[in-house]
Amino acid sequence: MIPHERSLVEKLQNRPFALIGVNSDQNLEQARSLMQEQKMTWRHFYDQAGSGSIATAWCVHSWPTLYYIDHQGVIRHQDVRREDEMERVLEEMVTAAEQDAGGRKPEPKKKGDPRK
Amino acid sequence: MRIMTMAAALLLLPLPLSAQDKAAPKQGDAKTEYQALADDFDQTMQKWRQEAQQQAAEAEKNGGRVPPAPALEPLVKDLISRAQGLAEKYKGKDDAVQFLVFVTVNASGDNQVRKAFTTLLADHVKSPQLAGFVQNLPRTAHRAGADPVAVLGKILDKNKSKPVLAVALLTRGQLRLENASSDAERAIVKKDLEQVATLEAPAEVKQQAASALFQLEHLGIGCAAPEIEGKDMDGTAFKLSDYRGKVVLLDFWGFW
Repeated sequence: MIPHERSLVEKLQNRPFALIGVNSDQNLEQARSLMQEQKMTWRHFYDQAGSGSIATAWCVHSWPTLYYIDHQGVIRHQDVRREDEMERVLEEMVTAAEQDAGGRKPEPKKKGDPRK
Repeated sequence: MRIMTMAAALLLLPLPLSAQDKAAPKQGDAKTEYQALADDFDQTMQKWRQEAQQQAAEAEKNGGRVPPAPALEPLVKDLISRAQGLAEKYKGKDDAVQFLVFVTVNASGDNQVRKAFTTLLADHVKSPQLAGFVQNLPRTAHRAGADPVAVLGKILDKNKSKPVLAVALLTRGQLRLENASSDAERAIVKKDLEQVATLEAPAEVKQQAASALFQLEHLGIGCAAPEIEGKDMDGTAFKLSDYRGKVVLLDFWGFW
């Protein structure tokens, strides 16, 4: 899973795409060092488990859970997990985002990439 | 199959117990008998888990492949017979329900499951003790060759107990939520879940219904993703909406 995510991030790096994790590990330090080890360069919300957590708000009952959110902030798919399916779905969504951005040319590049 | 049986077994214990909280505690009555059965079952499961762990540890030590877990069926067989006997003893009475549910959840033979399942529907469809059966339906119905949504419809039609109705509506809502893909289907789910709030039911049941309702209205395909405001691993605050304009793959995960 992690190697595939790494390759997704690499493959889509110059396109309108972001992988965002919601990490529910108890031990922040340990999670951080493991992430470094695994070269997980993308951004994560750190989500302490328990009520009031992001996972609870999103009704996540099993991990991992995936949500595919389009460039307008609308949920388009949930729990597509097969690697080839993931790539197909993301390609479709990213292309749509690019076409939309191309259609409304005036939108300049945002100041500073929100990705780290 | 073995894994499924184990999962079902692990799920069993709290349910029928909570379903019979209100039964009057008399010495040597069904409540005591059920408690003894549940305790013995608990011990059996513990023993079985330890055995499986031991086998796995030994295999690892010897560098061999981890063997499949030992069969659960011979261990549980006697407990199932005991439950069937107790169900027979209380035949036709509310007290039989918990033993029949025990069989539907824990028996390895589909025939045993089907028989207990059929008895529950034939003799106890109106019982106020049916909540445990209802909660387990998504796991047991297919083993009895039944459609859980149809069974829930029957229970909702015949049963008058508010807590049972609440659990039945919640369970039907949750089952249909998984497959709802059109507005019409979502409206049906919504109706079930909203009705739970109007019934007298345990807080946990209402909370689950509220959560499923939120899922339906805010987390379905086509919904605007709820905002997330949080901090990253370094403590820097950021929001999901910072990424508007980009496709976001949101991944709930952990190393554990």
